Amino acid sequence: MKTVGDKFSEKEEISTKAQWLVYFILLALLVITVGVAYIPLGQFNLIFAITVALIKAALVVWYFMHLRETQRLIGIFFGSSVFMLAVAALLTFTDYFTRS
Amino acid sequence: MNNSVRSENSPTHLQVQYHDALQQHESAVAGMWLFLATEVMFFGGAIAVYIVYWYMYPSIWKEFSAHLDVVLGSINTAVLLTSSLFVALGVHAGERGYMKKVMWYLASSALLGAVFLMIKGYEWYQEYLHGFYPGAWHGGGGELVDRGDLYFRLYFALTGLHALHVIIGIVLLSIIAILARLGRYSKDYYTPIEVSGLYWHFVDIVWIFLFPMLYLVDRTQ
Repeated sequence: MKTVGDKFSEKEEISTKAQWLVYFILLALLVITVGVAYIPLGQFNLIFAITVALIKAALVVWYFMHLRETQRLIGIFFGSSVFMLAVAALLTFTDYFTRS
Repeated sequence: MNNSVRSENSPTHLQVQYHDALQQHESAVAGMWLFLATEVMFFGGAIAVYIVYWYMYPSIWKEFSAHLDVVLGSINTAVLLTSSLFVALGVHAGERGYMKKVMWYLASSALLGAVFLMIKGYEWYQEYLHGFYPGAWHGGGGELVDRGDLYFRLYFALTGLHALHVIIGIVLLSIIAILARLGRYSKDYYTPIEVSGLYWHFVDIVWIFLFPMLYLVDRTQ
């Protein structure tokens, strides 16, 4: 009979030290995002802000939410919903962004 | 299926439909991730609307987004990031059976969530005082969108929906913190702690996207 503790035998767990480190990285990224917003970079401002937000979200999902220790299938469930959202959003954008 | 071994040796928290505790745990975690997938759809759709109108009215977006308080927004982001860290540490403690630590970490996170709401409420109040809300301009000429109506409808809808999720998260974390302290969980059964943690992390992630989208539209002079 498997107990809940058995899931740890498959993968090395994420340590609290790593989580603290990720936390400070997230704070640093926050400072960077706000700082860069004041630098005129044209279109690149938006791309930069979204990219940093994606990195921060990925850090939270990977290190705080233990996606690594979760079954691969669940990750695919979640990833596919994000993918479907991207498809729906992109198709919406192709409509509105090409209207004159 | 031989059930007699199961009923004599299985832990009390194990429900009948599961073969073993690990399967039960993984099912619960899968269920929460599935729910979070629906939340991605929910917030993603609303944010997509915001982005479309941003594209259509860039100067208006720049004008009215500038009225949002970047300092308070940044502080709020840091508040939620810290609460997320505490939740992660609380789950870590729960996995090892340190239920007192779980209580402190989760209670602290709930408290930080309340701080977030207070700051947000203060921001909303300031925006109300300055007339930055939908319907603030009664009568008078001009398109509603030019007067910021469209922008602030979306701003209040997005932050309001997010705040509602924060409230739910605070209640959830508080209940789990109390139950942990009352000895309901152990290192063999800490599933509700982990699952509540996942919900809170998602609330944090939504804000991680909302903050730059709302506050950092175009801050260049």
